[in-house]
Amino acid sequence: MSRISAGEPAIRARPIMSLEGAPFPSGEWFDALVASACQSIEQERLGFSELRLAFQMTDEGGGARAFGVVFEGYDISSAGELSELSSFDPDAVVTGDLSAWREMFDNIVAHGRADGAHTFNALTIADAPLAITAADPLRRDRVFRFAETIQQLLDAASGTGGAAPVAAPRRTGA
Amino acid sequence: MATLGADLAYLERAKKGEFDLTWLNETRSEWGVRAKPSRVGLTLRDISIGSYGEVPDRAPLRTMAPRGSDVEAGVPDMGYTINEKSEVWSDNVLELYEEAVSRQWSATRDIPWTELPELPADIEHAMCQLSTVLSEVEMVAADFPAKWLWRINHDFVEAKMFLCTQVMDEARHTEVFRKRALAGGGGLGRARAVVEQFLKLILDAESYDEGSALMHLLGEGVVLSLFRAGELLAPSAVEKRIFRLCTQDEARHVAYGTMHLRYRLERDPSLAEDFHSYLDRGEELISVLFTTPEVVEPTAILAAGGVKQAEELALGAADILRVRMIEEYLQRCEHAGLDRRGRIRLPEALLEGVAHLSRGAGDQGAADHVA
Repeated sequence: MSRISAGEPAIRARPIMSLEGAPFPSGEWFDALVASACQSIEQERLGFSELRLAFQMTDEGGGARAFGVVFEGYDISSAGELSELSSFDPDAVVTGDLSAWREMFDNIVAHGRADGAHTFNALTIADAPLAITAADPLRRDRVFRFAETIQQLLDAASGTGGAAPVAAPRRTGA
Repeated sequence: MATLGADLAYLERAKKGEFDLTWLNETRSEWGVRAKPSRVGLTLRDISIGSYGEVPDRAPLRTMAPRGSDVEAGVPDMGYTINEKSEVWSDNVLELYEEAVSRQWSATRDIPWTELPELPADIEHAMCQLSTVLSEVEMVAADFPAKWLWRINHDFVEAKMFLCTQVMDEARHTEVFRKRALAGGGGLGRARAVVEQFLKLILDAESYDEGSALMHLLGEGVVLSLFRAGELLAPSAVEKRIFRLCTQDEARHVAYGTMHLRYRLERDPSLAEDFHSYLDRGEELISVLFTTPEVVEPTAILAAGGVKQAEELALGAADILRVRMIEEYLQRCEHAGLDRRGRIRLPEALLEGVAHLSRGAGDQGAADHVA
């Protein structure tokens, strides 16, 4: 688990490229994403956040893997790969095919940030290709309360160098 | 009533060093209660300690004296009309106030205006018309809390403070959409009377209950969905950022409205029918938003990428957003303790595709897990 704080410059200065080559998806890759975000996001400008968000990815064989990110005050931390969602107690779970996640991160890496069709909101608003689920509407709405912070976290994938899934198989026909 | 005017005799005594010091020696206070800052600083939650954290269900006085202070007899009556905690409180209001203060943004500084691209004329027109409507409707969400703020007892100061953040948020929304309309060369579009009718219903609400249900839950719920749709349809990264930042603010207001209604109904379930009737009327009026060309057509044109494309695609994309908007509103009502699924007053044509509308037993679990 990587814990990164906006107030801890020694950790913030950790070179991201040390995680170059982390496979996607993996706990290490999300650690690198969070580390990149903590270097690029102006947390104190955006304001603090309180959100536990799980990213769930389903592969072609139907197998699902989930990864957790915790926004707490001005800190963002990666909870790595989750063995079970319930023990992480996410406010919301974002689910989708692995290919959709790959396409989103590929797009971010290619453009430096998500283009118009690949923002987090654009991909989730119609429940496809990604969907937000939550135990109740208030916890789901937390995702909207921190919309810009979440987008900037995801856009930080453009700074993860070789850790970003640029080499992953691309979805075709999208 | 305390005697007004300067106490010149006291001034003479003080000049000689004969201080009064009753404020030092006799004030009833919780000396030694020491609030400790949490990880983001000293929050309202951190200072909700001792008697200072006790918010009375009914305010004993109607003064501006800070709750927990030693109030002198004879303070004037400020004439507050909202003196019951449940009339304005929500269990998340302290958290939402802190979040609002922390997440303020500037429509001048935080939007990359210099990156605004030159757009095709029809897209620019559509964006400007949508901006006109949003600039128009957002200000009522400042006017309504401002109208009621002075009537709310000072013992519920945290709720008042949250409403102050909402006034600022909505001023900024009005500002940012006005700026967007003028920044691209298109200017402001048309303002329709039918839209203003719903705004008037909120502003003219006879009680805070009525206005809050209409605004926080219904109106802002719809606008929250509209902001999310705007982010999806935005023609450039500039508008996308505008819509995301506005989404954040609006979601806070909706979170307050939902939890306030829940707090209110938990303490007085007999009010449910009143709230139903407020929303009956509100839904009937807000349905015009779904049938007003100045709202529907810019959205369709932005979704399709132009007038010609929109005419071919009709309202396909808009239909998805309409269903989403209504479902999210119904889920929030249900979470607040008000089941509107069997009572919603939107026309049938607008409810097509919305799930769990019948009042059958099978719908009980509809809100157990939301999407």
